[in-house]
Amino acid sequence: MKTKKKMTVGRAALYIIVYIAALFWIFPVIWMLVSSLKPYGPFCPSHRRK
Amino acid sequence: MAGHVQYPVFCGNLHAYDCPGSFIFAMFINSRLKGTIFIRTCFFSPYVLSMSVVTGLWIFIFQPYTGLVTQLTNVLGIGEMYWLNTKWLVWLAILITTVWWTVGFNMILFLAGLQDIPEDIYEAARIDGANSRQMLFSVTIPMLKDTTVLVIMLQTIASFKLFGQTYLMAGGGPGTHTRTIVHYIYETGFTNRRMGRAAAMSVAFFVMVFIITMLQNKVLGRKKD
Repeated sequence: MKTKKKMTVGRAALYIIVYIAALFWIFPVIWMLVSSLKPYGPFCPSHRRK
Repeated sequence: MAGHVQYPVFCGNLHAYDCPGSFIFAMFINSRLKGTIFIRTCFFSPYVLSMSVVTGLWIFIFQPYTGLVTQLTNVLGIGEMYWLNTKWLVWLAILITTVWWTVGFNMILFLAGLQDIPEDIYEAARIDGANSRQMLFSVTIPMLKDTTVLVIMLQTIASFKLFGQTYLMAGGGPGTHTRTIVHYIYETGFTNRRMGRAAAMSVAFFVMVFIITMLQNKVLGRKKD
């Protein structure tokens, strides 16, 4: 039988740290995906449509 | 062969950040939090990507004008940093890329080691009055010795084989600052067309890595009687 762990201050802090670390680790991939969907124009003005 | 002297530094740094980092992440996942699958996916997903994709991503991040790191340094008031063209920064950039990429795999190894530790030992330690810190240093870390040896050995071999990151991110530059042994062998064989010499260097390199790995195994893997 599974026992439910009580939410203490330490455990709440652990949750925050772990989730921040996980999001920080995945952030480059998300940033790359978001950047790849952006229009090319702002990065290279000579390629902008006139 | 200027880059070769950087190997011990790179190796040391890789071990210093990769092993503790992956151990901490494994401990996070092993602490039975809600959403473990999401956390594990976040940490492991970089390893799923191929090395060329990972380096492409980090080249994009380390770009001098439009890169994410440059945007951050501009906000902090540091200004433009030419990560891939500055001698002291390029190894740091390669280190960050490698650690980000490989931590997930080592984390899985540590996680397997952690899940192999019998619960009875922790129970016995708890009955003896051990606190969390004592359990970590007297039960968890000693029980993970074999996994740690394996991780260190794999990391050492991977550090010696380093080629893709340095070749794609900096092309061995600035100058020959990041030209690794494998890069030098590649240049000798395929750029300078000296196949015999490159083959001889490859065999010598294999022997060197083999001896170092055996020595490491003997020193770290010694069993207590």
